Amino acid sequence: MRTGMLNWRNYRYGKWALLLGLFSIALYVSQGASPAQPPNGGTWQGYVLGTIGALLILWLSVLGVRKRSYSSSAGTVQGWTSAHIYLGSVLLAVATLHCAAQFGWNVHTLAYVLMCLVIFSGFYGLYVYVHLPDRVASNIVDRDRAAWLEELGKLDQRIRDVAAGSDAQLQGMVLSALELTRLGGNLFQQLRANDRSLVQEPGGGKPVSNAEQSVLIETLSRRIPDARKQSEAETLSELLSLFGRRQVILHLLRRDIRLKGLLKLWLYFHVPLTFALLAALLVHILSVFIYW
Amino acid sequence: MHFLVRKQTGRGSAEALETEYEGNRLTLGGAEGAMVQLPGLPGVVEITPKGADGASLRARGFRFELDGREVSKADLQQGVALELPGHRLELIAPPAGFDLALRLEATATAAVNYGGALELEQVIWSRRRSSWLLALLVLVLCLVVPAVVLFEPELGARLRSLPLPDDGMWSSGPLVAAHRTTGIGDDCQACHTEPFKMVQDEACLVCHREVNEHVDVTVHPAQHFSGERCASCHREHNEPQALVRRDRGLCVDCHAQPADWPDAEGMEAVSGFTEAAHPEFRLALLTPRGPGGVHGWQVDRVRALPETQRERSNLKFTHAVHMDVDKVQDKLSSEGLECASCHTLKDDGEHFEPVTMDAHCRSCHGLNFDSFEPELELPHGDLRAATVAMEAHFIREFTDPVLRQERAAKKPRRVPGKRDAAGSCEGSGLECGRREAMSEAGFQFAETGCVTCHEVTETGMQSIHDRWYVEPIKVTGDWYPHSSFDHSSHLSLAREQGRNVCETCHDASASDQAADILIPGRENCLGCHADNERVSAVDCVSCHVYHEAGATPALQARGHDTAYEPAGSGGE
Repeated sequence: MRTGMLNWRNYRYGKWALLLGLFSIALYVSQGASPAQPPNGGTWQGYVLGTIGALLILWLSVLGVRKRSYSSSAGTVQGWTSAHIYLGSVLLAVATLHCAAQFGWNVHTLAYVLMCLVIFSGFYGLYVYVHLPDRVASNIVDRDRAAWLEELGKLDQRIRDVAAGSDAQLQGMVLSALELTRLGGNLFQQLRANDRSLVQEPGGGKPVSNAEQSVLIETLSRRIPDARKQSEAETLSELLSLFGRRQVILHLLRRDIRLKGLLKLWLYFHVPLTFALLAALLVHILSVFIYW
Repeated sequence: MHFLVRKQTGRGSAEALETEYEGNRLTLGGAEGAMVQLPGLPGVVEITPKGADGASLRARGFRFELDGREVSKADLQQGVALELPGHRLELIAPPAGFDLALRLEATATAAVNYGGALELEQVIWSRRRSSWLLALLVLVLCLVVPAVVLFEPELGARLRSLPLPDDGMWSSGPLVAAHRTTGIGDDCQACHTEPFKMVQDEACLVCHREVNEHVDVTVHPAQHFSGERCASCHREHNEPQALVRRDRGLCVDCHAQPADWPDAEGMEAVSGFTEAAHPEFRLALLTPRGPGGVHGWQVDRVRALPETQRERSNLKFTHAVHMDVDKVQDKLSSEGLECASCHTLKDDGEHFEPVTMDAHCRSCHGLNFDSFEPELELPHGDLRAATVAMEAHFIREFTDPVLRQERAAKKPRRVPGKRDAAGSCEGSGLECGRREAMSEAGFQFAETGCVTCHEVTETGMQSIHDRWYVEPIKVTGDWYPHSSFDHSSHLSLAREQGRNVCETCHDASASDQAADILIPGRENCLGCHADNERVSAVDCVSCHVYHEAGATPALQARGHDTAYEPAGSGGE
């Protein structure tokens, strides 16, 4: 659990957000239950809540800029992130009170929905930032991905070398297993981390699934007892251990791709939706005054 | 066709794996449908035999380098190798039974290539790109396209008729049902005439031409109302809908503090509907101008208990007698009279049709004036017509010899309370007729007849036409002109009161003078409707309206802009 951005400076921004939330509720309640003018964005309280909301959205969007300006001295990025989380959460209350929970098929509700999508994708981002880094670290054990890939490359080369000493049928199978190994892929393949590796079995036909190198490992272990020569048995054993190691590394890499993908994916929604929200916010404000 | 693919294996050794394929053409690639699986190839390669020992190659999804150029097609010849990404490919002489043979050799180094991207960035649109796209999409669909209606009304109208985004998406909430009509509900600019300007009164008055201001601006200081737009009170696009204010604030915001309105004469503090919060009702008393109302009537507003006031209608009448079944019965049914025998509610549910001599009184109080011809009656409501009718009748009776003879022979019908007319007379027809007319007139105006219900003054003049003056009757039709009341909804009281429901509020049986004011005052309403009664509390607007009937028409007061004149009309 990495909660530094949540309890930064003893929940300073959490308290700020709480105060802002309470202030917004008080403002909303002060609209009263007048039948002459039901609470909404058109009362003076509604305008105040709307202005607070719009300024919050603008400020929250600036986190992306602050993150990139490494030389900036305007607070630490961690402090900014902490404020971003808490003030972003309270924005949900501010905006809902601003519109008095009145929705319709219009650009105003579009802005609200986009805002909710941004905030909820942010909640998801917060969840993965809190929980996933530990899992990434424990999965990849002190080495980076490039190191694991390098080992895999060497492993494959060794397999090719060793397999050269075996019969053509097994060699064909081994090489096809190397060639038809699948890692990564498109978005969903990266995130699902399903092993789509294949192997070409002797005798032609369509390649079959070799998930977790199981077909190869099974074939090799079945053939070891039947080895007629000492050298053949040695070759088979070495291939078996090489494929065992290969299985471990591939599995680990798949998990790594999946976890890193999940860590980054939410931002691919959070950021573009933020820009859509900024556009919708502009239209919301303009349109309200065009047809005042 | 039969294909043979020989894959070179190992490192430089001559070992090879041969695989046979069958089909129209040979496909190679990383995709799952490819016959020959070649991981790392960015697309699919199709090879079709061509000529005796050649073949054509076509790459789909990628281009490769051939002689320094990027191409997607190439011809293959035996003995000439082609370099594809990660693989070398060469046609070889097909063994017997094969149409085409191919040798494949992996050229990729030990670098791992498993046919898939390992980073998210490689397979998803960049954040910058999707940010731009989404933001522009929102701007175009929600701002640029709808804004067309502001600049190109005709194009805008077409836009609205098509399932395309239009300015309707700028609406902040639903319109009330009455405004959801063609020409308003589908055209924002029917009301929002100018961008960035609040809805102007002229837009409302295009349709609501009959609406009045709150007061008569020629009497009351109009400047107090000049800053208030129609939309200051009538707020559209609200949820819940609140187009018409019914809240107490509509009235008491101003009326609670009369001191703030020094110009408003007679304004009393109102802050609710209790004895303390609402003043006594103001009666509209008709006061005759000149003796007997000879110069007409004026309405005086008097804030007082009704029972302390007298109505000066010049009518002689008593409800007590007419409602006593022993004294007055319905001619047809012989039952006692009911309120509804004379009083008919108007369609407004508040006021009553006037009680008239012809409709309600004449059946009992007939105006017959000659006991020899009892079916003849005087006209009502016109003094001169009545005296002329009497004179003409009697002159004719005594001048025409045949009539005079018949009359002398006839026996008059005696009617209690009526004068016995003369059957014969000494003198000329004119003299006799005039004498008889004068006698009858004296009886009608001074003893019974007109004088039963009317105040009659004797002038002392000689002429039959001028000797008596019947004072006109003016009965109050609207006691509380600044409030409304619904009699029909109060008939629910009949459940408890039965036929006497009217007397719950109007104590008519006990009234023995026409001058009694039977209209109830504030106390009567407070019994059920006071704020603190919690039985049936009412709002100000349950009884009062903001746009008073007698106030200045808004169209006149608010400087009607001719630009809003509907085409073809000629103005006010």
